[in-house]
Amino acid sequence: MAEKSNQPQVKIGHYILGETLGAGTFGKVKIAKHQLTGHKVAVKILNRQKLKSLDVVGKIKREIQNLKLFRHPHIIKLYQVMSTPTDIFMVMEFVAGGELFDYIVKHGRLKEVEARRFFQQIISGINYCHKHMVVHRDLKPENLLLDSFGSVKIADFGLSNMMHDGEFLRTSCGSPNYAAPEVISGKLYAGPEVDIWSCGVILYALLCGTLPFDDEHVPTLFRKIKSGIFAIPDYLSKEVVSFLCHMLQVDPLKRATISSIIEHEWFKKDLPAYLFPSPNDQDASIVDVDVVREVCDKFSVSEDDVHRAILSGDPHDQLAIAYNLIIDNQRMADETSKIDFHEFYLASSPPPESFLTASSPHRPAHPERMGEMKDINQTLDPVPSVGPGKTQPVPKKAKWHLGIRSQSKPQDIMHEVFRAMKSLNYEWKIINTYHVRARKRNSITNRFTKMSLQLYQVDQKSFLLDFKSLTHDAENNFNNEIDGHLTQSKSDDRMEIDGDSEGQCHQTLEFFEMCANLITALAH
Amino acid sequence: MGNSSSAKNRHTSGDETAPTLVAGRHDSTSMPVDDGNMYDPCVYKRARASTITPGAKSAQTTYSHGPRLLPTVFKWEGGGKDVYICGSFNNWKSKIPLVKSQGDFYTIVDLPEGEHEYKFYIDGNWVKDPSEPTKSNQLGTENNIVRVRNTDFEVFEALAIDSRNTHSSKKHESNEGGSPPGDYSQVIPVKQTGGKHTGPPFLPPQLLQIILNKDTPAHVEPSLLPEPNHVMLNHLYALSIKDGVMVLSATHRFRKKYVTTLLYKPI
Repeated sequence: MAEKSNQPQVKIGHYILGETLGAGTFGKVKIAKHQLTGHKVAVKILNRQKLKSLDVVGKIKREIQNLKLFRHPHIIKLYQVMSTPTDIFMVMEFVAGGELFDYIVKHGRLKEVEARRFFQQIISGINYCHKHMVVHRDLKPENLLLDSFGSVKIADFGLSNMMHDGEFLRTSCGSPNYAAPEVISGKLYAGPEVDIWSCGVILYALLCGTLPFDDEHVPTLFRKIKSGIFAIPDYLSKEVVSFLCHMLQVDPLKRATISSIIEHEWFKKDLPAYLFPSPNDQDASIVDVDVVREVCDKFSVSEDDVHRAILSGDPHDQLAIAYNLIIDNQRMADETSKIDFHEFYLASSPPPESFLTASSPHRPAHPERMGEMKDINQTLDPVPSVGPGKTQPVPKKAKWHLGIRSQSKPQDIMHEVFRAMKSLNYEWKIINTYHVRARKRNSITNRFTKMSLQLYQVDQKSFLLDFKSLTHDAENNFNNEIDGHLTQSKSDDRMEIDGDSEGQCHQTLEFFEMCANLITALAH
Repeated sequence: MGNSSSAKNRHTSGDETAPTLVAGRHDSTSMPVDDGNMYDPCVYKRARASTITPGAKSAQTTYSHGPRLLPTVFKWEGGGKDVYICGSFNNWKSKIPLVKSQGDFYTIVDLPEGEHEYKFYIDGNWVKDPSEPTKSNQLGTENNIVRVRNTDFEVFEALAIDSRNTHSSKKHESNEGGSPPGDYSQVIPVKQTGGKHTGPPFLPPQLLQIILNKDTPAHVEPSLLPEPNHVMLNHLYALSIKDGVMVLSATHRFRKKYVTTLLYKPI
């Protein structure tokens, strides 16, 4: 160890650290090589003291938690995280192609074919995030990296956040040029719609080489974003213009959704099948025997050791990490060859119709068959595309309302709510002037039923009191909440879910009871 | 592994005390890998955080014997040309060279848990880093010291300690679902009168996309509702009270499905 050499080696875990690739706010990013397999990785070094002083510990924790379970060909993988007394080392997938931003700067505006290929990959990755209840919130070409095959990898989940059932996000974040109108105006948003807006801006940037909304003066920029008016160059095809306009809709409800994007003609063209696999294909439970042998050779362990390591699910396990690294590299190579193959055969033929049967012209003949039911489910969405039976008048139904409305002054409404809750012997916790949590003990089970009450403004005069059921889960601390959601997204963690949903079942009726009593008390 | 419960005990700064947790941690390290707590529902439930960071079993303990070695970063920001580090961990016998990296020098040494003394050797001189803690020994010389603790190597534990130290000052996003601080009570707050106060937030339009109000095409199963947006889940929807009956509904997530429950309640 003491011998003199010009380039002494520094290792973290099994990785030999190399040159610095870049420096961020919290520390450096270095390239590193696995000492046995030789695989290159990027190591993001975060200084714990800096994280603390900038008060971003929670954010980083979220980023790590989110990324650790992610596995998608177009999202930068986080292989391992190591902590030391001073720094945290995030071992991530290394890609050699640089930022999509530099690519646009270097090549200028892209042809529609090329832009579409990038865009399809981006949407596929974002769809994956949203399915796992994560919103990226900072999508921009600077955060989209390119690998050596020219594929996009979504990076930097530093501003990402978890979506929770029934809850909205508010924090304004990300780069203003790519931020949706509701984000910059500090409104509440659900999540996916703000990523869609950013995707719209990215597509525009890919196609035009400029930004749809830009101004050095931030208030002017915000005005432009809120107006939703942007220049449409002549060279864009009609199809892509309608596509862009749909994604850059100021009204979040009218904005394109992932499902409407993947059904758009412009998007569907030359769409590789692997980007939107059917749910059954996503299971990666088959172990690759050759890769296991490769790991055995390199680590001189038995196959059993490797199998055990893979099954243990331990993300720190060296054998499991090595296995996954090799698999990922192989898979990417496979996918690229598949794309080539695909493109070769489809070069002059019409786009495949196999993707999404719902949009195919052949309507299922027997809708009552179970196999077909799934299909119908898709046409049930708000925008019914093909529905010959749609014209039939439906008998007038009673109309459902959210919560209860009032035209009193907001402070008076809240005061009445408190008085009503007191008369019912509820207990409460004040979150802010218009947001409280209430609970009531069930005298038989001795458990608390909890709900959240939030007053919203509907228009100039009227206000709305919203009731939301809180599961037992929501009352645990924040960390558990996140873990809960992530484990729910993994289908093999059934036991946990069973416990939770059983609790939820019981609660629904108790929640109704609590609401009904409060509504009745308020009416008096 | 009682990750969560033991973390609670360690409430204080975490920078000085050698936590009692350590003993328990050793037990869990010696646990065989395949005997994971996956199959025991009780343990599994308690140690939720640890299912994501199955912690103490690091590669070193699993595939090699002897004490667990923990990577520790040494950094020198005071300039110089040839920078080495030497310490009690190698009996002050050999000098480990530091690598230059954009303005500073660093290296990572795998150390066993405990307190270690060290000193930098810069261009032929023994130097201590004044910004790091020091300790003088029997010979009267002062060395830097570093305390290596198992807890620093569990990423989420380390982050939890860090956030506990900063958290109190700043509240996190209130819409994130965690229970806010404070206790339940029955105190009615005094109504704010006069002055400027911000009104309640505007109703997010997504909450008004009520799935029960949507028409189901005649040819499909009427009890099959359109897929809800995740934000409308768990919220209360109601019909206007008619003929003395209150009708309430809410949609919850159940595994991969959504279940909408209706209650008809005479009043």
